[in-house]
Amino acid sequence: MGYAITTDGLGRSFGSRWAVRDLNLKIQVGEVFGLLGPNGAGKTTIMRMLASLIAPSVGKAAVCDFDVVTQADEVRRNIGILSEPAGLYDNLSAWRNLEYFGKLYDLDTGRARSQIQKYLELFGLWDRRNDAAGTFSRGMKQKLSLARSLLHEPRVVILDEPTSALDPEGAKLVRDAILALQGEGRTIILCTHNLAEAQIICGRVGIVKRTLIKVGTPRELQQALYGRQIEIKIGNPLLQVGEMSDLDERLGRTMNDFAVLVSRMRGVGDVSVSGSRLLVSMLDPDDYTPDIVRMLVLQGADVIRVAEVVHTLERAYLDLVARQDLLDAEADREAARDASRKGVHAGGGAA
Amino acid sequence: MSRQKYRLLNRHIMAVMENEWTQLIRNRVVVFTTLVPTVLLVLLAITVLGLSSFIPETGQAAQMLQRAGVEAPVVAASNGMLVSLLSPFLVLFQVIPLVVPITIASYSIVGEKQLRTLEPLLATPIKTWELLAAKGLASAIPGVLSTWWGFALFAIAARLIGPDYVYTNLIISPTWLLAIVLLTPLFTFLAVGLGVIISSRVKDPNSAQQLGSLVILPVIGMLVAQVSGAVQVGVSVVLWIAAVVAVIDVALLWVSVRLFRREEILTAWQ
Repeated sequence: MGYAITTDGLGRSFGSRWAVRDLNLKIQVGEVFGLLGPNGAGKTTIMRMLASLIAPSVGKAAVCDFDVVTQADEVRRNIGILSEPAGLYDNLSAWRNLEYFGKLYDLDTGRARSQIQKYLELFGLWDRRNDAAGTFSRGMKQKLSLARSLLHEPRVVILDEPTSALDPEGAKLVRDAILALQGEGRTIILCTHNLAEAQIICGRVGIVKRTLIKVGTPRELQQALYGRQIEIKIGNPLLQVGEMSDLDERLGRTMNDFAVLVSRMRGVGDVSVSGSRLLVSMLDPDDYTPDIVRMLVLQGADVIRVAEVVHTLERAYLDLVARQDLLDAEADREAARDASRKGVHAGGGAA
Repeated sequence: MSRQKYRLLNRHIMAVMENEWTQLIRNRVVVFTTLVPTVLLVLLAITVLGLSSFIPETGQAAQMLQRAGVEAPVVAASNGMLVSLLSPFLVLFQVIPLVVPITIASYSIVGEKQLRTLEPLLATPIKTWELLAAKGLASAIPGVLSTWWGFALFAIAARLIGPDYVYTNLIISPTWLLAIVLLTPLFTFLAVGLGVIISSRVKDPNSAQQLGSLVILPVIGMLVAQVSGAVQVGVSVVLWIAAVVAVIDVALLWVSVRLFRREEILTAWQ
């Protein structure tokens, strides 16, 4: 399967400030790709470069094999973009809003009508088709804007926060529509702050902060950050022998003893204690977990539950962004030191 | 294919123009601002014509008539006074092609900024020159047409209620016709160019319109010069003005095209 989007060293600066740099990305045809990043991370700039709205300062990008700079018209014909906010003509009806864009996308009158009807019905706006868009709720505007971005049946769809203004029912409708589009072989880039949503519908996600920090499936990202961890919950051993005094202290000491024993076992990495739970990092829980459980039972522990820890994409995202912040801060300090050294040298030379 | 691609009124341009005018007629403020100068000016001109019978004869009227560039060899002094009263309307009619397009252009571009419709619009395959042409024509055509319609109404009224020689020697004189036919489109394009430039720098339509209203200052200067007798507006003066405005139009078009680029609009105009 080919690539719907490729970027090679893509970067864009505004004056001396780089909004995005060194972006290398390959998104396959039919993929739902999540683009995650904090505000100001450059997501909008990436979207605009891919939609041929602004030109890259460096590097290259292609959408459906069309270069975003030299074949901008073809790129625009093959891409649909839902930006935030909706950007509708408030005093035009829903129908007229879509009809206008149908003309701009070169749909003939008959096709435009059938497409408008299709998407107004899909998003539950058919009964309000003659009402001015200005009278719509934010969620309805969002859906109308989404209908507009799909009107010309683009092969690539870029959606910026498509469910941000929607109620749960509307959000599900849009998520289902995204998955239906994927089923038709369209490629979707989803920019969102809703990480639970990204985890559900994105095959892969890229975490961006001026550059691509990390890319992979949500599970790959979690494992790359935390490895695999199992949680072992142990029943309180002291309750069995009736020693209730200094319970917390004794419990902590007992759990620490278990942790030391576990940490000496084969295949085990870090072990930490959290209340009556042991958190054990290991390369392959499937191979080593039974041995650990057997050993704990032999040592008198009541093993209540053993489960693999699943970190959310949200936690992975926050940690990756925090790490990038530290790296950026270090780079800034280094740059400041360099500048300071150069200043001293220049001053010394002048003196 | 290339003929279709570069045809002046292709489907994209027609679609944008239609949308502009649909938006325009639904905005009472813009309709009011657009219609009022034309209607007032025509009414004022017709009122002056209607009051012609009350104008007393004076000894200086014939002299004023000559100063106004009327080619009639011998006319009554009262008619000369009427001509001198009507002559400034030649310049005043040029206010319409300045005010109307700049009002529409300001609303059209700054309005899109406010509605945040520029990004989805620019994401379509419409070419930048098509968008500029469509917005320019959507602003210019009402300016030119309202001036010509206004003048036509005035001419019909002059024919019906005014003295014959005023109609023959003033209203449809070469000077007036040349000014209306030639200067009106040139002033319109000047206003459109300024509208685009102003719109690129302001965020709300009111500021754009206030700045745009300054465009009538040169016309006011011309009016003062004409009324005071410093300038006698004849065919040669009209041609000179047309030449100067045409040069300014070309310069403004150059600046507008440079400002009206997809990237500039998205990154600097928001």
